[in-house]
Amino acid sequence: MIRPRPEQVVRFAAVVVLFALACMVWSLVDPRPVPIMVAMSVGQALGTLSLLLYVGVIVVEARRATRGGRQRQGEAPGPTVNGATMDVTTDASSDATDATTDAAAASTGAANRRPAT
Amino acid sequence: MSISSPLVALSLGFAALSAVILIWFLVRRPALGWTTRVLLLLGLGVFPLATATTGNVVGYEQTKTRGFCAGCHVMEPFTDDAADPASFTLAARHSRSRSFGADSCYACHADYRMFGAVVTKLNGLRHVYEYYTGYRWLTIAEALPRIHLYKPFPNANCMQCHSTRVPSWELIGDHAALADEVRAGEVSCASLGCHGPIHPAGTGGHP
Repeated sequence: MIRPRPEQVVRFAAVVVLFALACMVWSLVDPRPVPIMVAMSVGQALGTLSLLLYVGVIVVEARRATRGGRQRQGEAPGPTVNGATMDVTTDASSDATDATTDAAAASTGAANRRPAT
Repeated sequence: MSISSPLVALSLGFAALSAVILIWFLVRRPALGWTTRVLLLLGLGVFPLATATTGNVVGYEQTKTRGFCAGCHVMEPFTDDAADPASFTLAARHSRSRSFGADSCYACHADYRMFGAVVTKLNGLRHVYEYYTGYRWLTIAEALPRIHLYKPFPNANCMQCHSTRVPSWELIGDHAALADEVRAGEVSCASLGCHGPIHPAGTGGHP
C-alpha cells in the first residue's frame, strides 16, 4: 500500500481548505439560498476534513518522533570502566564486579555484551 | 447583511489570512518545522474555524431577510408587495413597521415554539427542495396557483405581538364574538373576511 508522505497530506489539506474557504466566501458575497447552503454544508465538511487530516499528520509525526527518541536512547552507550562499555542490560552488580576485577575481560568485553536493543 | 457589515468584513478577513498562509505553504513548500506547523495550525484550523463561525452567524441572519426569500423568483410578487411603500396589504403594512422591517417574511412565518428556529430552518430546506424540484422552471404566473403553505397559518404567530388581551382589541365586535376561537386557533386571523388576504390579489392571498 502506498503511504503518502506527511508533506503531501498537508498540501492536500491546504488545497481542500482553500476550496472550503471559497465556498464560505461565496456565501458572504452572494447571500442567496444555494451559496449559503453550500457554505454551511460542503464548505464546513471540507474544512473539518482538512483540519482532521492536519491533526492526524501532527499526531503521527509526534508519535514517530517519540518512538525515534526511545530508539536513540536504547542505542546510547552505557557507562565505561577502564575505557570499556558496560552492558547496562545485564545484572549491574555482578558485571561491575567482573569489570573491576578482570580488566582483560573488561577491555575485551565485547563477547559478553548483548547487542543493543 | 451587506458586504460592508463588520461581521462580513471580519469573516472575509479571516478567510484572507488563512488563504495567504496556505498559498505561501503551497508555493514555497517549506519543511514541516515548528514555525510552519504553527502557521499551518492558524491557516488550516484557527482562521477557517473563525471564518465558519462568523460566516454561520452572517448566513443565519441573512436567511431571515426578505431579500433572501426573494432569491427564489416565484416569491417576488410576495416580497415586492411587502417592500412596496404604497401597498396596503397586511404584509406591506407590517413590513413598514420597524419591528418587522427587512425581516418581515421571517417575523411572520417563523415557528415560535421551542426549537422553532430549527423547525423554521428545516422548513426552509424543504422550500429549497420544492423550488429546485418543482418551481425552478415555472413562470411566476404558472407558479402562483400552486404555491401554498405546508400547514394553516397559526394565530399564535400573530399573537406574538397582538396579545388579544387589550381593551382596544376586545372592544371590536368581531373580536369579542370570536375571542375564544381566535385564541384557540379555530378561526384564522388571516382568513378572508377577517384580515385576509395577507398578500396581494393574484398571489392567491396566501399568508
